[in-house]
Amino acid sequence: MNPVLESPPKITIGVTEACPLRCRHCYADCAHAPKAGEVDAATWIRVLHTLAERGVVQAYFEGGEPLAKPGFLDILRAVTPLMMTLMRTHGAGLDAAMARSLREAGLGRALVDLMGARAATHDAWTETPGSFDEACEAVRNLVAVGIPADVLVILTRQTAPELNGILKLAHRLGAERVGVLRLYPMGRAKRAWADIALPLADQMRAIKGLRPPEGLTVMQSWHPNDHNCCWQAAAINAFGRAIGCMYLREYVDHGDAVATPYDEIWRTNELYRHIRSGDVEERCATCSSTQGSHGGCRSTAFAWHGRWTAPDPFDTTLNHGIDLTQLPQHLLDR
Amino acid sequence: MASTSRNFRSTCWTAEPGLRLRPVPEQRLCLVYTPARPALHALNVTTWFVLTLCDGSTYADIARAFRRAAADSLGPGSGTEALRAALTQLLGLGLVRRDADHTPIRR
Repeated sequence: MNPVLESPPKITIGVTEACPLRCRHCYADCAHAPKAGEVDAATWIRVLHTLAERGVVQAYFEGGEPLAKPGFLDILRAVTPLMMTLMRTHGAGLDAAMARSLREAGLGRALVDLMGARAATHDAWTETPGSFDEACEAVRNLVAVGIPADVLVILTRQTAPELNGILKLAHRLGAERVGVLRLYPMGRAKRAWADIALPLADQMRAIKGLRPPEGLTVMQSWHPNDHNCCWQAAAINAFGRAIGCMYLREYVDHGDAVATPYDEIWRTNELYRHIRSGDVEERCATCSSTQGSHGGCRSTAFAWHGRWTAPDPFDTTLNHGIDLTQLPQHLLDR
Repeated sequence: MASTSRNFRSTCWTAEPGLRLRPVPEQRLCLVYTPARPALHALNVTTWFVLTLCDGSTYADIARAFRRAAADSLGPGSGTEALRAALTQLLGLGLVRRDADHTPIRR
């Protein structure tokens, strides 16, 4: 079984589903304007203060684009005395003045998405000319004011040939780490799957071919690092619903995290407890020993098999011949 | 080595103000958030315990309390070297400060 926590020390906040970009793979199906029913800044502050009182000591903000959330700096200022904060951003609008504001608000770390090593690749992906230059400038601006910055890249058919270029670029920009992330079949990524997904063998080849410059750390979760991090995962989406993990956003709704303290949902929701438990049909012994958790990612396991206990097909030892470029019918029907 | 010993012994040890401690006993660790220089650190049980002793006490007082606790529950590896290693780690992470001029709190 997985490790057990009485309550979550860390949480992810999907603070908005608004974003100025139009990424082809957007998991949240973002629009330029906030969607109806999104939690407002004052409510987020109240929720986050309650979380802090009840033992949460880190908040990871993502979206959408957090900087597109009205009042986001107010949220940061209100919580940084209480919690370590991280923000995932595309860098749109993150100029020198915004970097200074983030620093003054107490932001602890930023993670900037790149979708290519070249403007042509990145901007085609975001359908937003100039977004590559803005993302690169964002990393520079963050580093210049002393906010540690990481770069994130999702492994797709388009980004795979440019991964080592992204590592070099990230290093030049001053990033400390690059996270290479798997592609999830959610939102627009699900609809574009046939054009963007790579077979597992090609994914493994791309990961094995990573050559980070000296001093740059690479984070990735392919075998033998495939972990089932659900045991510690807590997340609230833009509408205030408890979903455990942002990668479960289309599959679960554990309850109203605005009206109910999150740790109460953590303790009482049966499905949430089950997903965290590590009750799996099969596990990779190597990944279990390196990660201390079992069965790999629950989101991709559920996406392909429709069962929370299923093996993760992104793990080479648990894949059993599944073609990751094809989505199962039950997922397409959802 | 002698000067290192003097450095440890001649000062009082105080936790930096504003730290937020989040014990995670299930994992036998404590998360510590430092708002002044935003970072989150994970401390093992020994280092976590030493941090709680850094309330302006002298090294001698801390060492005495540490030995008592070690005898009770901290277990192997909890001798003088372990105490010094913990203090060095806490200092390196910016979680405590040494204050030679501080008037020690007597236990």
